[in-house]
Amino acid sequence: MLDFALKRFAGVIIVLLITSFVVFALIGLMPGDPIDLLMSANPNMMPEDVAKLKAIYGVDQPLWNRYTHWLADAIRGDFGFSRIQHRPVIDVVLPALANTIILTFTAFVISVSLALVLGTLAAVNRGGWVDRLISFLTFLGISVPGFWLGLVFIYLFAVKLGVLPAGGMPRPDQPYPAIAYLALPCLTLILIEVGGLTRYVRSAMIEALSQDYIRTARAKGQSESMIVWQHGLRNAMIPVMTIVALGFGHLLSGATLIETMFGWRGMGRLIYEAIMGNDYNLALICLLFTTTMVLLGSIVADLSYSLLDPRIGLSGKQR
Amino acid sequence: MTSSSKPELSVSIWHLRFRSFKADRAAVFGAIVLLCIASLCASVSWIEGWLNVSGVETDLLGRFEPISSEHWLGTDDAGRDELMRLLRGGSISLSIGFIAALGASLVGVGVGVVSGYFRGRVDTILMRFTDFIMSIPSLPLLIILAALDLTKLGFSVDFVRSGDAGYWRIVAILVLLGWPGVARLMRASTLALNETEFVLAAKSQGASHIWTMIIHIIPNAISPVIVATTVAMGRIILVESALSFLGVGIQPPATSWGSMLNNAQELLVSDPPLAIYPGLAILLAVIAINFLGDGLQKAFDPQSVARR
Amino acid sequence: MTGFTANGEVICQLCTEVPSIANGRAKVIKRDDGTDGMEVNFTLKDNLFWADGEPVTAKDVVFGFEVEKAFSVPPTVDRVDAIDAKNIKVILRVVRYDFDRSAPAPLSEHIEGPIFRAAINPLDYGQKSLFNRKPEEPGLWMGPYRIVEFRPNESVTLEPNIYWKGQKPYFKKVTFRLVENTSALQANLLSGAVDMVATGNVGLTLDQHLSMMKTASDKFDWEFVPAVSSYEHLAVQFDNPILADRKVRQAIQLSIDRKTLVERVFGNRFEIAQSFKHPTQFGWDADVKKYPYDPKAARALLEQAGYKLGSDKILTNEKGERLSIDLVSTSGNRIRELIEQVIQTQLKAVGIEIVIKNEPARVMFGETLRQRKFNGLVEFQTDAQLDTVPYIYYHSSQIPTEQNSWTGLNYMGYKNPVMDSALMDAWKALDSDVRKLAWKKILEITAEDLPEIFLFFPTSAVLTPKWMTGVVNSSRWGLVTAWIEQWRAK
Repeated sequence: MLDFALKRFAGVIIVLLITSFVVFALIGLMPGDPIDLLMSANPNMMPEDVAKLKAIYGVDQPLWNRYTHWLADAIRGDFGFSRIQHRPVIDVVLPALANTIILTFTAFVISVSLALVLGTLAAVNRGGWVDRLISFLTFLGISVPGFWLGLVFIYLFAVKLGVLPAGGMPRPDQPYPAIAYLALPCLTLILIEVGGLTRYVRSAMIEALSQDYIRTARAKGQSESMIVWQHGLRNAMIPVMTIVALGFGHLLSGATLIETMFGWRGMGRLIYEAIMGNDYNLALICLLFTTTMVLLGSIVADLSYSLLDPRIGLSGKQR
Repeated sequence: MTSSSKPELSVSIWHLRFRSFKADRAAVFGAIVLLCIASLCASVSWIEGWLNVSGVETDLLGRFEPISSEHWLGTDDAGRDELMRLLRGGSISLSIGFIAALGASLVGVGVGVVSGYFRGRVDTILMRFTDFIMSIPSLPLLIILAALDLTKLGFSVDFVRSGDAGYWRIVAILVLLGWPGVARLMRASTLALNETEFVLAAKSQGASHIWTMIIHIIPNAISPVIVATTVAMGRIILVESALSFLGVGIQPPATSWGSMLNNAQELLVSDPPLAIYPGLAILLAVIAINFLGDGLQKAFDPQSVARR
Repeated sequence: MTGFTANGEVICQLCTEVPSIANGRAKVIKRDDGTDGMEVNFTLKDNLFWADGEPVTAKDVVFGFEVEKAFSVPPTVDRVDAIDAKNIKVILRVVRYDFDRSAPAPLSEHIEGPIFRAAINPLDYGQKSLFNRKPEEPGLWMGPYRIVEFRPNESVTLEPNIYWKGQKPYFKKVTFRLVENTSALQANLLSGAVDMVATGNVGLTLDQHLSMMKTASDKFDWEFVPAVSSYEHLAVQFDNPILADRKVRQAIQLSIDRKTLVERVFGNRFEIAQSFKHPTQFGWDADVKKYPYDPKAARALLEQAGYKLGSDKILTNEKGERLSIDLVSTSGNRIRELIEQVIQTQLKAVGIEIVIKNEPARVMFGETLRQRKFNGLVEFQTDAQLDTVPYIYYHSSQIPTEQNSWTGLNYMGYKNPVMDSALMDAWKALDSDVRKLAWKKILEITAEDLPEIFLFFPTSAVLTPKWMTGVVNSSRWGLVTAWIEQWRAK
């Protein structure tokens, strides 16, 4: 177990290093460098000033030098300065992270709960009208463009009905309670995610319910609900947990679109702004952070898979 | 040839599959809807001529017009016919979806079959690479790739700014991020097929690697890939709309459903229908594709048929 | 230090009297190297205080200049000296008409001074400066309000500066918020979550204002402020042989129906620009050549230039080159994309093919324009100070090249010696009559040569809630916050 964990963590470090270099290089290919942007704001700049500023910012150094410089700083914990917010990157990232966690965690918990209920209902009612209705709704869920749904909600609830704010973060001097700001982005996220999750739960439950031990339980005369909720769901949880763990990792960046639309100041929106604003340091740190989350998510998924199913060893071999 | 089992078996499997597909009404509906949308989009110039409207020419005197007999969905903020605009946007969105899905599958099949067939170090290296791509958060990476300045990579300024470059760049990055999924599927099927009799037989008869892979493995491992490609098309359309919505995808004057929504964001209060139509179009196309994919899955995978 | 009236005259904001030759505060001097320079004296008002109670003194103005110099050396100001606590002497290296606005803005020396001097380089200072680290520090601000809360990328909250001795501000708290997109902004306005929006088409677009005027005029008042120093135009690439021909430029100007554009798209609020100068400004010549919408005249000009209509309805010259021009502008700006497509349609009717190629603003301004990487036309808005001689835009020495690290704003590559000398004449003219003549010449050359195709002045819609007044000040030029102490409830 320890051996497995160590090997996986080493893998994570390697992936992070490679990712950091690739992203660093890619961002360097984005149009404009910090000096260009400074210059377009100050028409009186002379060529000597440009040269001086280029030297200070270190933009004229080759890629590898700039990267190793950054890496050395990062290992020491100095993640650099955000160019657009004029603050240390850490000060910018941590509040954004908190906001994303609030939004995505709430949406995730509700989605998973809804998916478990709906998926089980559909599996139990297989072929019936409940199943077909739920299946149709899930098809809608996985086919709808999330940002469009967000637009529709803004129009309905904020513009037409005026009951919810059109976006932004909770503020003390506003007419809406804090939870009102969470409502629309959360709702949109839930509707986007619940479809796929429900389909997964449904097929996992169908698989579980068709197993031998279920027939045995029925033969023994156990009640249907006991069978479904205790035996079926418990065993369906294994593949579901894997999906949940994997999904959670991608959650952090998946909310990018929703956060940007609703002005929810989280990691997703921060990444978008950092990339579009040529803020190298910020974009790099945010991306590495979300990559770490994804990788950790898959490690947790593997671990939980092996823990929950005694038949599966950590290396995937059957015992 | 006598009526031996082999040729008839391969014909009747496809027969079985077709029958199963036909029975799934949603899938048939999806296929028909998709074909209708695609053919309408492809013939937009002809329709424009027939109805005497334009989705390209601006008409300042006819902005924001409501639904009328002349403009079936009204006009947009430049006076262009909204329905024709939707069709033009559709041809871009659908074609990107189709080409990118196909491209991702081709690359994915190639990598997957090589990985699964040769196993060992080749497999490990390729799979590490695949995992690496899959672990980077996709939307931020796509945004970076879509916003790159290609002139810094050595492309000429003229090429970079042309509409074609924008289109193919989107296709390229979608293929780049789409092939790992297919590769994994293909690899799994290939691993399973490695041990089958006919593959072993082919090898013992001295067939070259390439021959074995192309003639024996790929055709038999292709079913999950066909399904995955169809589903991928829907996903790609959603991703392209998201990128265009964020302003990094298709740029004006070219249009796609996503960039129409980007445009309509500002008009949400003044002319809400302009923000509704493109989203509905995306929804309709993607749900049709998903129904189609679901039907294909049932047709190709007998086990899943039993479980349904 | 100084500001402007709506007509472009200089007024004092922090000083007691606008320096002039007549009142003796400014004079031409001989500099050490024998060239002519100027000495200008400013006196600070007595009643200016930083929000921590310290008085604003000449030391702060000198410090402001020091900081400015560290980033980029100002082109005309040589030295700034403090004569005493309230008097400042500015030495200019040239003789220029705009000497009366040459004083730098004061920076709080007692707060930022130590930080600046301890910093290693300008970047380091930027990171350590309290403007970035702690904007709530009272001593940084000296206006009627000071910043009490600053949330980066989110909001700024102001409260009155208790040491402000001018007109007492009415509002106890003013909050500026950044809202994600304009639909959210409109929703916020309608629900009362925000009271006002930014002016100058930064908040809502004119389109959105006009549509709201139809539905929400019971809640808000609208006033329209002319844009006297900003104009929307097409910059022309003079290296392109097609566009280097003046007849082609004039034909393009004649082929754009600006009147209909303004009527249909801008609710007749924007004003057609005949030149870069607004008619209310000093130096305007009403007799300057104007270009109406005249596609027939445009076609005639193009035929004179040697173009004939080809089989694809596009004009072609004897060499077989088609009259096809690229048009670049900022992507993501709906109104601009609309204008581009309208121009495309209108020019096609005359036989000119326009190929639209948009890119993100930072690419366009940061690279394409600056390094002159465009081959046809570029549409954008130029925002200048009032009463500015367009030297950096039209003088041949201001063309950005690799040798000068791409500094200079003459993106067009316009080289006209007659214009060059007219620009220098206007610059050096201390006498307003001489200057007026120089302006007449500049406007004449501009109208004839058309280094830029002029579109319009983007009139700014100012939206205020019905209970508020004082936001629009038709006698002054500037952002509405420049007279924030005049905002009040009715």
